[in-house]
Amino acid sequence: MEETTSVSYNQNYSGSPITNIPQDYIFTIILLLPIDAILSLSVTCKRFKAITSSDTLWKSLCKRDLGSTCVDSLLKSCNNFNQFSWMKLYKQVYQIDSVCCHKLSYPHGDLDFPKARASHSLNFVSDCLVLFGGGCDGGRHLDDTWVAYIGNDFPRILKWKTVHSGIPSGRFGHTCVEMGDLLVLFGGINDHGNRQNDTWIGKVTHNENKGITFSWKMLDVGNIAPPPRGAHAACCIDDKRMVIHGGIGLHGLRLGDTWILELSDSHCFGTWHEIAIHPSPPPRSGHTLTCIGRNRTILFGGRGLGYEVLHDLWLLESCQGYMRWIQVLYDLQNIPDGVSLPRVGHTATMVLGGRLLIYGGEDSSRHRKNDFWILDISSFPSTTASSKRVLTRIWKRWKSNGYEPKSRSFHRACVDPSGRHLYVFGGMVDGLVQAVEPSGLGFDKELFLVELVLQL
Amino acid sequence: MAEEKSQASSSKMLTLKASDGVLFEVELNIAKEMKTVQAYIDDCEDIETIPIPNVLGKHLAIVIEYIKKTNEEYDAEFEKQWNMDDLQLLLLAANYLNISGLQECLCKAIAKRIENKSPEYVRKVFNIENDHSPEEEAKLRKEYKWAFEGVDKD
Repeated sequence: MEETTSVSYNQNYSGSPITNIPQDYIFTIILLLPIDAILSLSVTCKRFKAITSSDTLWKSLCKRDLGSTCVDSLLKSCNNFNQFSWMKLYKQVYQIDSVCCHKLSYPHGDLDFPKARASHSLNFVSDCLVLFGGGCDGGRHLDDTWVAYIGNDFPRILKWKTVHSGIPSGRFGHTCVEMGDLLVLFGGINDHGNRQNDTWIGKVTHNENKGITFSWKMLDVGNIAPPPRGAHAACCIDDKRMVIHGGIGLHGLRLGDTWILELSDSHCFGTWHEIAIHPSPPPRSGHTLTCIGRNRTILFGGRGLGYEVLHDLWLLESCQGYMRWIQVLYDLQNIPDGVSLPRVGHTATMVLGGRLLIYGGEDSSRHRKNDFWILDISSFPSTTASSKRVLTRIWKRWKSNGYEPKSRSFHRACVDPSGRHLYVFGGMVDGLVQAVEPSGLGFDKELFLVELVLQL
Repeated sequence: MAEEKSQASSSKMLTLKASDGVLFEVELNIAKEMKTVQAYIDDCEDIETIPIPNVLGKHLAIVIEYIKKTNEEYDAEFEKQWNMDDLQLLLLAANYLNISGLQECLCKAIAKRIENKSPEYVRKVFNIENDHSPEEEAKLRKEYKWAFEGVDKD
């Protein structure tokens, strides 16, 4: 065997191998690092500072951490391109610690708007807000569908249009989930107390005469469907599958089952199957399920079997081809104001910067809330990490500026593609319906906007 | 000597010669995972020994082992065994030999080693000289403070 004395890998080998690694690899490695590690790298030497200051790199980081849809939307809203820097934008998004609320008013005159209600569904799909059903005073159900075109910016004055559909039948406590351009509606309770288990697909359509409208179609799911229920939670897993959990079933029993709906490519058929896995979140109602990206979903709160109001967090994810629930443990005592976390009838929506924004709901004494909490998704355990990791810094309470909304529960909320605008409608609020009944509650019909403020 | 590649190709053996002269006999289908070697074979059908002038025997051995055993579990354990110098040299080897899976695995490994570490640690690990002036460095640290609030002290 010949021995060569040379250990050089190319003519210019000198000092550290890292200086010989092609630039492309450096970028690949950087894109795998969390932000603080990237900035630490920048401090090491001039060469790395130059590499990590590239605005193209920061645009990729924005896409990585904020999502492409959001980045596209931010680009559209940008006013001043000369001063625009992706690094500055990333920093701004990272540092958001409050929201600004705006009341969205209705024009005077004869334009309709939806009446006060709770436990309805509110979604943002195809540039429109879509509202369906819900319960109103007297315990009656509603069966109306409303659409309002929003487009790219948030309007101060909204124009709602009612859709005379006749279907689905009236109900409240149903779920309605965005899947691409579609809405998938499931279950709910009507005012005779009957729980439903039918599945509907809805779509925004453009009609020559009527302009923008909405159409519903019942989904053919064959013989297998989850037991009827209302006040369950649902969200999409990916663009073909939806998951539901729990709710209140027949005879008022709280359920703890998990079911997955898989849509056919044509969207005309669907298949339900139950996933019976252990451990899994205990039975409950009025909780939330939210898709947090990469086929993972988060479950939070609700009211359990013993009527207690919960604050546990569960993650549903795919691991080596099968689904599993992991409880994300945290210590309530270590969180400032943590005592106000447990809730039912709240909303949980993914907003800008990989955060889950939780708003409203009520506690075990039926006190309604109007606080905003953020769950930091980026610090979540991945599939390879131990499932019993206890996280202490995942919850943060945010301030709210601008308009102060009334405390509410069983309202609904949805976010636009930019991730900066959360629309909230209705719910049950402490009513001043009659001055003689201070503890009376009322159904609300207010629509307001929660904005994550960015200077663009 | 020159067998038809079709039927017998999976059992045909090839010799790879590292930069320090170490020889490795590998099956053709293993060697083909290295796209650089594949290109060599495509050009000269009769070849029996292929020179790999840019890679030391020590690293070529690791690369061949990786190709034979790679799967999710193996990859997770693989990256823990090597020091930073070896990781970087392996990355250069994987780049030269053009093995995509290994390149990804090594990038992830290097990234993992410098996560949650101070600039001082990273300088040591990469063997980099600090050419920032003290004022420049202080300015940068101050400018970057926003990303470090709430991060665990190591």
